[in-house]
Amino acid sequence: MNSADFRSKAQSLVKLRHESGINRAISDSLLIAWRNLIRLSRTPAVIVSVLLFPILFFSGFLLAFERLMSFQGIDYVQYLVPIITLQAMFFTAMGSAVTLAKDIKTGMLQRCRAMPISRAAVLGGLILAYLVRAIAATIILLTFAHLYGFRFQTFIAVLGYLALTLLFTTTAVAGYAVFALVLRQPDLVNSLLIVPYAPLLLLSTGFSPAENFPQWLQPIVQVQPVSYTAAALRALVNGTELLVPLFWSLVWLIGLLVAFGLIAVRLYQRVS
Amino acid sequence: MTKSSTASNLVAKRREGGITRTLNDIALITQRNLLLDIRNPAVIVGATGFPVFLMLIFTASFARVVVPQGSYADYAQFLVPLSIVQGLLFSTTSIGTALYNDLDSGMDTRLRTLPIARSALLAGRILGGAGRLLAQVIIITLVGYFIGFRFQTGILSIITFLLLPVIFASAFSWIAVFFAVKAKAAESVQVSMTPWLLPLTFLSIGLVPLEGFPEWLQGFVAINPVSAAAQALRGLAIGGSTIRFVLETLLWSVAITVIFSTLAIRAYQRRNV
Repeated sequence: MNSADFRSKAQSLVKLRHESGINRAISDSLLIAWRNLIRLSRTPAVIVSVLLFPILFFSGFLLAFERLMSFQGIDYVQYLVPIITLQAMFFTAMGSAVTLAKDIKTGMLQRCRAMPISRAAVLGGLILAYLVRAIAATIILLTFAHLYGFRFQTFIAVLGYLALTLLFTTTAVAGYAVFALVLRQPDLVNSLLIVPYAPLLLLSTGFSPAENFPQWLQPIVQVQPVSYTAAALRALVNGTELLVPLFWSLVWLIGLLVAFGLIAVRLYQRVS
Repeated sequence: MTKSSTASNLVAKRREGGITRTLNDIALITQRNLLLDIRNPAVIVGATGFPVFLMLIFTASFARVVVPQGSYADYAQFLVPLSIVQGLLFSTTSIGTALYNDLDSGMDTRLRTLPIARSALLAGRILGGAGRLLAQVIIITLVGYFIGFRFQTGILSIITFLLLPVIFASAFSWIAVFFAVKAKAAESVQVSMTPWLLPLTFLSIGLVPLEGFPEWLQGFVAINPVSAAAQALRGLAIGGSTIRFVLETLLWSVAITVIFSTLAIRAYQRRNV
């Protein structure tokens, strides 16, 4: 065979590749998600942190601040669970960033690029796998909090709570995927993980109401996505006014998800 | 002269023991570790940025909860000692992880073939770590100054204030080093440390006063070594009777150092290369 034959043969093979289409994207994402889940299940350190860390943070904050918060008229068990849930989701997303950075370093991502799979599959598979982890972490935390006296007002609220939590996780994983795709080096990713996490989580109304913050900080604290999401989750738990925080939470989360998703797929295509 | 006798002559000339030799080797490894820290700014950012950040945010969000009548500066005065102790204790995890990387990367194997003191790798890691810890204390204290933390005591107290947490955390570094020698994966050190460091630092008089805790927990909070260290630092900053807490902190440090340095060195000698 001469080179022209080779070329036409190659071209006909390339034509046979189906990399697009929604079905293809879903099945490829599931495949990559399964791979990520197998990796998760073989890392005992990760399992410990999924189970234990949210419970430790919950107990620590509760024991230290419950009594003092009650002087401000706050039932801290009910107040605290939503933000600890979101913290656990942040941990989940940070784990996904480390996984992705390792894939970049080892060349796994290049390999995926070379194969006829959907371009959304790597990101989709990452999100799916970490959603499974997120569900496990949330259920364990809620069960533990239940023992402390944490209660939902209605059963339907539990489903809303889970749904909003998972949307938050999706956005967070997509955000951290962009983070990993930009930074690339696992060591660097690892040591800078807290840069988005700490301000967003801690400078929120999740641990302490806005009135407790200095005046100049209150506007920032109130309008950021974690505060709205935590407020919406609290409203679901206590059956209070839900509409305003939920609306702003959805605006933030969906807007960020679309932006992060587009950027992440774009960055993935540039991996070389 | 045959080749083999040259080799045995050379081996006989090797001096791996002796106190001067040991100290020299430890100093050399310490220097190497400090250089690695200085040339890796991301590590320093991660190690120091987080406690500083936590301190700022805790002040902003909990000052009015803990001291309802006071100002943010009053809570800063209260909180800076814990921020230092907590930040340093969590740093010990990265000291352990760095040691694990040396054991894992072949650095340790290489050192074992060289005629240097056998304790140099571990002790050099602890001392290099102490240098990093001291830098952290200074940075956290300086940032604390911006939010209202003040020394009302003399220079001697200030020096003790800066050194005491380094001694205290270095004792805990031995625990991290022990776990690092035993570890089979880089993450193991963190997983072995964080689950008990978190309750230890949270359930102390550092964040909220003793009366803030439920009665059944107050006994633990009172005997917690982190409480002693925080109390000692508070006293060193504002004056008052501090000797008791300083001694208590030193006693804890010595006890932990003795126990875990023994365990770590034994585990290191038994470790398969």
